[in-house]
Amino acid sequence: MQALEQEIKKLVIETLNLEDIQPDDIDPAAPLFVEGLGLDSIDALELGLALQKTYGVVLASDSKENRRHFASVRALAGFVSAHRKS
Amino acid sequence: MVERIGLEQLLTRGRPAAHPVAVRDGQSLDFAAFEARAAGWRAAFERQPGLRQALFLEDTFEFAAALLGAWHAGRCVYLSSDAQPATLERLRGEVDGFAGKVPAQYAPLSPGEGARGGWRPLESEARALVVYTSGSSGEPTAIPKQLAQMTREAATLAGLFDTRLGDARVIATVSHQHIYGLLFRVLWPLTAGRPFLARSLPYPEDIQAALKEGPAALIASPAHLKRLPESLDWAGVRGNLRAVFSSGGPLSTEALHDCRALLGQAPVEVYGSSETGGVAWRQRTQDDALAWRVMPGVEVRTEDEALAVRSPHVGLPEGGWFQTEDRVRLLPEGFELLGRKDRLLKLEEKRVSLSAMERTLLEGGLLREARVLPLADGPRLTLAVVAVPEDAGQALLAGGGKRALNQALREQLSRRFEPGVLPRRFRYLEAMPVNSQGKTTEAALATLFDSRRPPLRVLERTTERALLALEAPASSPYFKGHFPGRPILPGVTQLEWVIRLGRELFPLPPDFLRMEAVKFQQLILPDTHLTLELTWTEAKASLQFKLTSEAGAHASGRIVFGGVHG
Repeated sequence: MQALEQEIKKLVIETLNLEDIQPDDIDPAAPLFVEGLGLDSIDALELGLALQKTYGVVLASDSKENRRHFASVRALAGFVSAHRKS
Repeated sequence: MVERIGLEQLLTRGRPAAHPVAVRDGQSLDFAAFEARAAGWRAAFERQPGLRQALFLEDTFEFAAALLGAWHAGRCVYLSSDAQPATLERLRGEVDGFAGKVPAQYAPLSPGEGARGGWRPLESEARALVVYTSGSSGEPTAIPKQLAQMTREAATLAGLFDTRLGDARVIATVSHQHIYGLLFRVLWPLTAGRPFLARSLPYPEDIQAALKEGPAALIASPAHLKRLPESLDWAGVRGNLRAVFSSGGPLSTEALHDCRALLGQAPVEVYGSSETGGVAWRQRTQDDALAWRVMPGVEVRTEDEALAVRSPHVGLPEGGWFQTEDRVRLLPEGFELLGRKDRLLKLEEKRVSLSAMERTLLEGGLLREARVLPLADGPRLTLAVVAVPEDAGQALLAGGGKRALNQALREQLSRRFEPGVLPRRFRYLEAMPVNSQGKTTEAALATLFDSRRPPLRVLERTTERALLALEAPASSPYFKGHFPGRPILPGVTQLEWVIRLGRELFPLPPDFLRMEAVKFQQLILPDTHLTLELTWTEAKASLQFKLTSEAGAHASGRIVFGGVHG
């Protein structure tokens, strides 16, 4: 799981072109959006696309559930490992 | 005093054959020589088909002769700001031909022998010139000028300043390929019968040497005036300096104080633009905040807080007002400049004022200067900040790294701006990059975010030497495919970095001439932390470099430059 978390941190940094941030700077339990890394809804869209491309996971149209998955890197890793195709 | 002659009648009325027009390498070039060159250029332009002719020359005497020759052949002259390949390519679509010093592929015209005499007065209303803005953003815009506009502006300058110049020659750091240089170092001297130096003086040493020769008026820009070295003997020559002119961008208070101390006088600052021509002037001899005085014949008013200008120098139909983007406060004696109008941008459907963001960034005391610019980051537009930190900002950088300062600035902004529009990318510099006109262009700022520029920190810096901490990040595009499975930093990339960073730190001439003693001693692998030492020897136009790391020396050598900035 830790390896997947590390992978997702890298994916977040690369997809969103975040500068001056190393994977180790991201607390896996911290919120990604608004207060944490300061990401916004458009970042969520792009991240969703990247997750879909990399792991084949499809996000539900239920926004409340998505909000839960996108809460932190740890939550995302949990979601990916439960739903990934490969 | 010499008779003033308008541009229209300069060659029909003429001056005495021995009247000095220009000085080149100590040699006086007289009016007879000028007329002969102008006749040669006229004959050449008459043979070249097409009205629209691009002209680029470094020598100002030759340029003046070509300009008059083209006008007398009925041509409209397009002035490119430089002779860089991209500039010439863009111009190719707008003109019928090229003349002067441009590469052979453009088939430039050169002057032949032409019969003298037979001059006829020029048409005042003819569209004689097209100049390009060096505006702070976007593509350059073409601005047409009638001969009458330029004659009127030369007359305005003569009326304002001829008396204080007396018998001075005109010397200049700025290029005649821009409207400021064209008016101040070519057209005004020609019409006033005042000799000018045929060559530009790009270095302070040249200015100092030229002042030893006799009385002179210096046409300069803030970019040069803020870099006057204290080490030169200015006190011994400044008695010959009749006046200094500064235009092209705001002259900082520091530069003003340097001029007062070193040159013994405050520059005459001229406010204007390619579109408006000269609008106002001031000389801050004592008062740092002195108001701008409107030039004779020019009218100003405010329109939505911003300055509007009506003037014989503006190419608008009779009575037309030109709207500028500069906010002003009108005063009985003129006006005070308050800064640019708000730059508004729509970012993912949200309206953001970039100017307000810049002001907020400066309020926290962490930054001395800040510019916010939009960057296309893949499919989305995001904001980026280029800033010069204050001591407090430097301390934060030294203590917590770049991320700490980024974070502090984002927090400061988040009190006023929505999280979605906060800047994502930051660059911290020692000084804002400026071009030879003293402007910080958005294009120059955007290159700082180019992934081809390595992340760096300036460790030490003087006017001749800089020590930088560089990274060769694994994500750099230069490692891609070089080589598959065994990435190493290409040697040409190392040279490219040296030149790119050298240009940001030192006033390098535009052309690469050659490299000397270049050695690549050791491979550079991804994520290597490098130290780059750059030494700039102005007298030899040589940039020496040494790339080292904990593992020892990686590369070293010298790069030699040439040419003069357009």
